[in-house]
Amino acid sequence: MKKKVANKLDEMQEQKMLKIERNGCWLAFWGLLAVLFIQIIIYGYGEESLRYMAGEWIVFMCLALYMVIDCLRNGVWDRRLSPTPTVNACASVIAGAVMAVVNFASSYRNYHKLAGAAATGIVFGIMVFVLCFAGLTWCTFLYKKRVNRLEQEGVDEDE
Amino acid sequence: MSKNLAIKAARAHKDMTQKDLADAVGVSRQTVNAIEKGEYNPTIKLCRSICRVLDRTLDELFWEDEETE
Repeated sequence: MKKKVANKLDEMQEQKMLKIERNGCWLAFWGLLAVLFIQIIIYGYGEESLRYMAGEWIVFMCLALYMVIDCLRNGVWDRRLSPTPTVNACASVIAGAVMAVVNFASSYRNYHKLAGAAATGIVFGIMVFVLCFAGLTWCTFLYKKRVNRLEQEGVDEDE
Repeated sequence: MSKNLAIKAARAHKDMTQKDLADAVGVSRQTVNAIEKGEYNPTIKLCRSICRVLDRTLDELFWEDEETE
């Protein structure tokens, strides 16, 4: 049988270790996102650039999917934000605006056409807004369903 | 961790549901359920809030003999 290795950290050290791991996780998340944005701006969306970005993109998506799935599974949303249509719309607008700026910069850097770059930015911004809002709305639905289920667990046997 | 039957008994004595206790101490019902089932180890701050709401001491609700820990 596999023997579990004893934890060598005491309570306080364990808390500190969790904090370090949490900071490391967010550093990796935002760092990868920044790297992806920089690569999009520098190389655009050509086949070669997609080859450069593939590794970072896979790691970033695994990290993001793991966090979303595990949060939904545990009925946890966010420390400060609520899953309401208004908040979801605001978050989607921010995501859309960021992607609009990144794609405007990418297009302008690679093709040097202001009007074309602006159009690219606007189209990308709208697409990201719609996709982000749809994704958040779907996650909100799953979150509420999961919370209701967790709230019901153990009620019959314990009350 | 073993089940915390002391909280369950104190809650029943006060005629409170898990939801009532959860609302009173500002956590979710899932958390109260997990504490009673021994699946979650609450912070001392939450322990004190539970004690205050249930009019019990920390020893009465959270003390465990060595063999049951």
